[in-house]
Amino acid sequence: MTSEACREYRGTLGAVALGRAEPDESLALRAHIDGCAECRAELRELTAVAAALPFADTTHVAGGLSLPSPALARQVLGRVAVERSARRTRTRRRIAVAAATATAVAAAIIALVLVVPGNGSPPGGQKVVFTTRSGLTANATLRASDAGTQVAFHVSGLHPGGYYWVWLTGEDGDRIAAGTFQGTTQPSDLLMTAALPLSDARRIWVTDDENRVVLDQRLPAPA
Amino acid sequence: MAETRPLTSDDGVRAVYAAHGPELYRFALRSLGDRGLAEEAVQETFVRAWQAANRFDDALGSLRTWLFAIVRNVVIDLSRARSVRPSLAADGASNEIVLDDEVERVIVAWQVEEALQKLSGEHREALVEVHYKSRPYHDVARELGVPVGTMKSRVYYALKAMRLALEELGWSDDV
Repeated sequence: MTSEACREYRGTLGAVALGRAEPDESLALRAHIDGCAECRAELRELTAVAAALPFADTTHVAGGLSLPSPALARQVLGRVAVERSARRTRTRRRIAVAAATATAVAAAIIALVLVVPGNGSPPGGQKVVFTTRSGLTANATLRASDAGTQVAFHVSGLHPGGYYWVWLTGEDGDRIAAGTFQGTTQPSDLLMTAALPLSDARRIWVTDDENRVVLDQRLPAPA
Repeated sequence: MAETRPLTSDDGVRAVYAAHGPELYRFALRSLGDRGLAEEAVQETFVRAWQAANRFDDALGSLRTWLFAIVRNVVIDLSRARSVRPSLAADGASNEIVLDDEVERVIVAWQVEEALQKLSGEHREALVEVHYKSRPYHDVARELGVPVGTMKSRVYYALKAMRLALEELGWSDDV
C-alpha cells in the first residue's frame, strides 16, 4: 500500500529513472526503496520507460499524428474484395478440376476420346462496346487465356484520380475481379485478367470507389 | 468491439480498419518513410489478415497485436523488395538478422513517438523539456511559473502515463 512517504518520493522516482536526480536525492530514495517493494517495482518500471525514450525522434512528434489518405479505407476494402473473389474462383476451379478428372476417368473406361479444337475465343477476341453517358467512352476486347479471360480495356472520360474496379460475372452469378485502375485525364488502355473462363463470362462491368456501377454490358452465352 | 471473426465481412473489415488502420499506417510510414509505400503496406496487411482470418484467435491475444505482427512482416518484405538498404540486402542471412533488429528498433521508436502524442500537453512538455532537451528542472519550472516540486511531479506522472500508453501499443520491457 502506498504510504505518505511513498508519495513524497514520486518526484524523485521520475528524476532517478531519467538519471536526473541530485546525489542526495538518489541516496534518500535508495534508502527508502530498500524497505519498500512497491517503490522498488515502480522505479524498475519507470526506468524501463526512460530507457525507451531515446528511441524516439521528436521531430516525428512535433508535427502531430500523420493520417493516411481518406481513400485508403476504400482501397483496403477493394483489395479484400478482389482477394475474396479470387478465392471463390480458386475454390470453384478445384471443384471443376475434380469433376473433370472424374469425367476423364469415365471416358477412359469406355475408351472414348473427345477432342475440342480451339479455346472458345472468337478470332481477334470478343468485342464489347459499352453504352455510356456523354463524355464517357469505353470498349473492351475479351480473349480466352490459360489464366482465365484477358480483358483489353479502353476507357476515357472517367473521373481523374478515382478508383475503379473491373469485374466479370460468371454464369453462376459470382463476380470475379479483373483488376483495378485509376481514372486519368487521357484515354487509358489497360490490360487485365479475370480468373474466369471466357465461356463462363456473362457480364462485364465497372464500379467506382463508392461501389456504384459506372459501366455495364451483358455478354452473350456461347452458341 | 466484438473481435471474434472480425474480418469475415465488409463491415468487419471496415470496423477493424477504423480502429487500427491509422496506427498501422503510421507504423508503416515510420518504418518505410514513404506515404505511398506505407499505404501499400496497410492494404497488404489487411489482405494477409483476411486470408488468415480463420487462424486469429482472440483468446490468444488482441487483434491489434496480431495485426502488428502482420504489418511488421509486410514492412520487412517491402523493405527487401525495394532494397531500401542495399548494404543489408547484399549478403544473406546475417543481414536478415540486422534487418529484423532494425525493424524492432523502428517499432520501439514508433511506439515511443505514438505514446508521446497521446500524453497530455503538460506531460509531453515536461518530458520534452527535461529529458529530450536536457534542461534543469528548476529552469523549466521557473519558465512555466511552477514550483520545482510540481515539475518533478509532472515528470513522474508523465513517465507513468507513457508506460500505460506504450503498453497499449504492445510495448513490453520483458526482455
